[in-house]
Amino acid sequence: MDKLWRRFCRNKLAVTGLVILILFVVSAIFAPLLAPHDPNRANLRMRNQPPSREHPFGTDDMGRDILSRLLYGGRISLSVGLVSVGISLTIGLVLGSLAGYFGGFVDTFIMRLADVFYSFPFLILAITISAIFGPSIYNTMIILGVLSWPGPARLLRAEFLKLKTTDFVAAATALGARPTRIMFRHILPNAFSPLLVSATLGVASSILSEAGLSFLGLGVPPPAPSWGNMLNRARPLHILSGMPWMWIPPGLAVFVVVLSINFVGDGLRDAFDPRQDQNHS
Amino acid sequence: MMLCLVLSAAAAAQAPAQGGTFRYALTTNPRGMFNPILYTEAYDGLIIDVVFDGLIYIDEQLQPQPRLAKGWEISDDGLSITFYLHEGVKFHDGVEVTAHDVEYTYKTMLHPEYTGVRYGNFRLLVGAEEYHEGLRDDVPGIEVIDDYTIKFTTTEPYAPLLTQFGYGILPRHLLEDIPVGELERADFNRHPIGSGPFKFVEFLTDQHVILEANDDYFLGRPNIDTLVFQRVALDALPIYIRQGRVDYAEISPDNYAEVSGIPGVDLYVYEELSYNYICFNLRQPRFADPIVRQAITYGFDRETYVEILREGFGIVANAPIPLASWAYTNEGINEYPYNPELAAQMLADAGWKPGPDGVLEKDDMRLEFEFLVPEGSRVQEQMALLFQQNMEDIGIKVNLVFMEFSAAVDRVDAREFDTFTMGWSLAVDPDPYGIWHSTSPWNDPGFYNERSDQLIEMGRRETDPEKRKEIYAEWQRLINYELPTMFLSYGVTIAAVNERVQGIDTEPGPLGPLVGLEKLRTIWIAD
Amino acid sequence: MWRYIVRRVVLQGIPVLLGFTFLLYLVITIAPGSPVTHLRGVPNIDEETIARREAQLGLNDSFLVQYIKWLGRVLRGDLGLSFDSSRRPVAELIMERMPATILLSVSSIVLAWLIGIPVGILSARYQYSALDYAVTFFAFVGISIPSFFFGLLLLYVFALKLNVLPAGGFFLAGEPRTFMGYVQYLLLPSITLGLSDIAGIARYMRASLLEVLGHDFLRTARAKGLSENVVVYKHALRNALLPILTLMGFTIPFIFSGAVIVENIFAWPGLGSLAIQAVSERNYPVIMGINLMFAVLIFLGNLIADISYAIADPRIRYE
Repeated sequence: MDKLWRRFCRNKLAVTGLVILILFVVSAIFAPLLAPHDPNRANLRMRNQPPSREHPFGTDDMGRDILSRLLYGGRISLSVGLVSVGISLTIGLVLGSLAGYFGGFVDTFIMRLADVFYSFPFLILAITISAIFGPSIYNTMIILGVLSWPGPARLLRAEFLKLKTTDFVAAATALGARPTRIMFRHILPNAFSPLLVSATLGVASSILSEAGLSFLGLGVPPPAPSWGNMLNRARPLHILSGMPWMWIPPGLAVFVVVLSINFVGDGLRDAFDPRQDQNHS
Repeated sequence: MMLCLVLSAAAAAQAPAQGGTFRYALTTNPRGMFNPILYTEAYDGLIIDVVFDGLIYIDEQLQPQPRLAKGWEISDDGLSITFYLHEGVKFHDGVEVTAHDVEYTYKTMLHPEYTGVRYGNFRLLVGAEEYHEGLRDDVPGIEVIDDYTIKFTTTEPYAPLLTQFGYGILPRHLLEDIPVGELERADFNRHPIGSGPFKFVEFLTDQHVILEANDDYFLGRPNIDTLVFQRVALDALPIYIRQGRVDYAEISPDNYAEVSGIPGVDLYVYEELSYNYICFNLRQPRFADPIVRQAITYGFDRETYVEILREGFGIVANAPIPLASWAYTNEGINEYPYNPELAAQMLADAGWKPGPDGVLEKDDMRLEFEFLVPEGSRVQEQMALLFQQNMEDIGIKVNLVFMEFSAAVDRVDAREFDTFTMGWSLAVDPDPYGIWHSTSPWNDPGFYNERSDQLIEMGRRETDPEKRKEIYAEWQRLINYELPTMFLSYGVTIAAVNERVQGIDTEPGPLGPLVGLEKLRTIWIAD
Repeated sequence: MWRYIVRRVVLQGIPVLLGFTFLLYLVITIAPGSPVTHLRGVPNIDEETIARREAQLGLNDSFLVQYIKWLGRVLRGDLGLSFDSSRRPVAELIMERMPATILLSVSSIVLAWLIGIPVGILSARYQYSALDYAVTFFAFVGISIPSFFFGLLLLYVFALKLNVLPAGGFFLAGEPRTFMGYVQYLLLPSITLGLSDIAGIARYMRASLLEVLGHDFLRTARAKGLSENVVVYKHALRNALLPILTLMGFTIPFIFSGAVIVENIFAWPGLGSLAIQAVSERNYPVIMGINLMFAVLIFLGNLIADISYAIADPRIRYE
């Protein structure tokens, strides 16, 4: 554990990413304290105002404070990312374990199912489902989570396959150890590192997807702020060119958060990989 | 310089310049169903309007004017119209237009296998319903008297009838061999041949439609050579206008400031035949009392909605017949100016008291409800937010539900809604039967009022325009009092026109500076 | 080899496509909203006409019947007729927009490879140099930045502020379709679409080349006195490129998919706008047609990727 941490810390980019990420998470959690205004209170007399002391990032087309919306939007974007990965991990773990443990027909069936989901043209399908069931923050979490389970499932199944053939497991079984015990004691811990990396990168991908869906108007619906739907307001070219304060902050926010997560994920991957001890700076 | 001005003024006073290409910007793609009796989308309608001629056309006063028909006669009992056609009018393939083509066009709309949506307009023709059911082979209500005379007869007086005769006339000789049920698959629909001022040349999906002037048009060749309907992304429209890449475009209010600053481009603002509204579900006891509906209307700042959210491009509406219509009245119409104190007072007087959480309650009813907002209009989303806030100020809790349009309509059709917002685009004739009669499937609020039904039925039958106007005035006053829906605003359109286009209607009525597309025949491009 | 392909197609491809189309059709039919919704806006429309239309579109059949009818038609090569008022064959609608989407996708892929591979090679060759760090950082940026944000930025800078490139769209009617014209309209959208691929390819190229560079056989080459350049470009590169080729199979379908957002921003007349419009109108045959096509492409892409991997690496053999 300690060694992992040390290896991780050697990667400057990863550490920077982690720091930035923590900053974002903290600001999301403490949004109610940090936000100078109510993110949903519209003030039509103050529409489209450029940044000022009163409104550090200006106001949007309904007169709402952009900084406050940015902070609360962070809550939504980050939570969608986390929850959807949670959903995909849960489904993936269960199905992957079943496939890996039982093998045979169960395995084939689940893997075919994974192929079905994997072959979905992701964005188009997300758009289809979202448009049909109505955009909402919960639907977005579910859609993103449910469409991503094949990744973790495959990972876990691979772990099972790897270890199933070892003498170690054969011995344990011969000694009468129960299957669940074998699973939890031996397989899951080994799967932990690739799963963690996959989950981390999954959060990044989810945040990007949610932003994309909200940008198209199919993710988190107004009036709740999300970084994606704040960017949606900037579609008309006169806002794009004339009022950059409305769309550059949320776009940068998504970018920086996802970048940080990718740095951290990459750092984790390197930290878990012993071969990296020679090559890395 | 002076000399140039004098010379160009003189030139302008002479014959209009010939030639040139006129580019009309479209922000939505036409479908490619260029058949006047089978199309449903407005953008297909634009192309159809210039490729085909109807018996009549609608002018800037919203009155029917002769087109293929050089005149008509209405019988004394008001049940028949006889049209007299021009002679020698040719389709683009050289074949003459006769009353048989007219008969073919209208009879097809009544055919049992007709796949289009226009049947409802003509079901009152004698024999139409039986023909439509397959119970008879002919329609006595459509009678060809000779090659250039055709007579239509209805079973009862129907005032809007004349305005329905604008449908483009189809060339019978090209289509009569195609079974009516398969007409929609015909290649003709993608390469239409009509008798109109422009001939169809090409349609590239999501890109453009190209048409060229009809040299042999019976009213004279158009001045311009080429007509292009150019597809432009809504967001990029101001840029295209600025760069002179389009000559005509309808723009949205938030682009007004930017476009009005462009040199060489004129802006025309005109009222159109549409309105939007917030609909109450009168089937719910809490909305059954008109006082509640009126109070809510007093409590919503519609003036700010129009002035700020619509940037002043709109007119606060209080009745379902728009300002642009000849049947509009504002005599005796309550304007319901924004007055939250009055709203609160009215509700209190009606027995509504704040509950423990501040939301108004009475008996076992509560003024907390869902407001369905279909997506697609930024302005309407903003309006919903404003509405929510205004209502909060008078003790009413509104829960916004943003939904995709199709899904929202589902809920409305199933009557599973508390309130929702949408709009209606109206026909030229003010007859409100289709939307407001209690038997109509589009009676979303669930409004059942005998007097309203009576007035609507009377208005439909009354052929004297003055009397009709009075009937509708009384009806509007009734609706204005009852408010089954809260009216928000009448539509206003902004048209941006490049200066080089001459001959448009500079004081546009509800059909705009091109009067629908009428003016395309006569405008010219000055360079 | 052929046996493998056949087995993949029959045992994996067909069930997957069946399962996918079945689920998709189920989802779109049980969802609220219907293809005839928009008809309520037609003045004087009566319920009977709407009912007839519903019957005509086959909406009165149960979901299963509708699906089986659709499947039957597809197996005969017919994608059905669009549900909108034009009633055009779905295949036609898709085909007329395909060229634009293909043009955009291919340009993005070409860009990605043209830029990504050399950058990756240089980065590995000069590992730990400033160039290497810059490239690594840029690679991260490329996969982290939301494509629509990047697209908006490009629009903002190049089209609106500098005014050197068009703000989206395609040729106007009558505008001559020159090569330069194509480049102008394509440039911003393809960069936007290809960005994450450029980044991904650069990284993989770098990693792959680095891995090969560490191998023993190159030590021999170096010991023989060959210059570093020869070592890298002549010997290592050949081995490093092989795994990259398999990437191609993967990237293509995802480019098609990601094109939806990019087409949306740049008003590009491709399949993306058709797909979104079809969804909001509940145009079932078009939705099914487009999704089926993408699913087939993705399946083919994976298949090609796996096969080229097998060809490239003789150690891997599939029975």
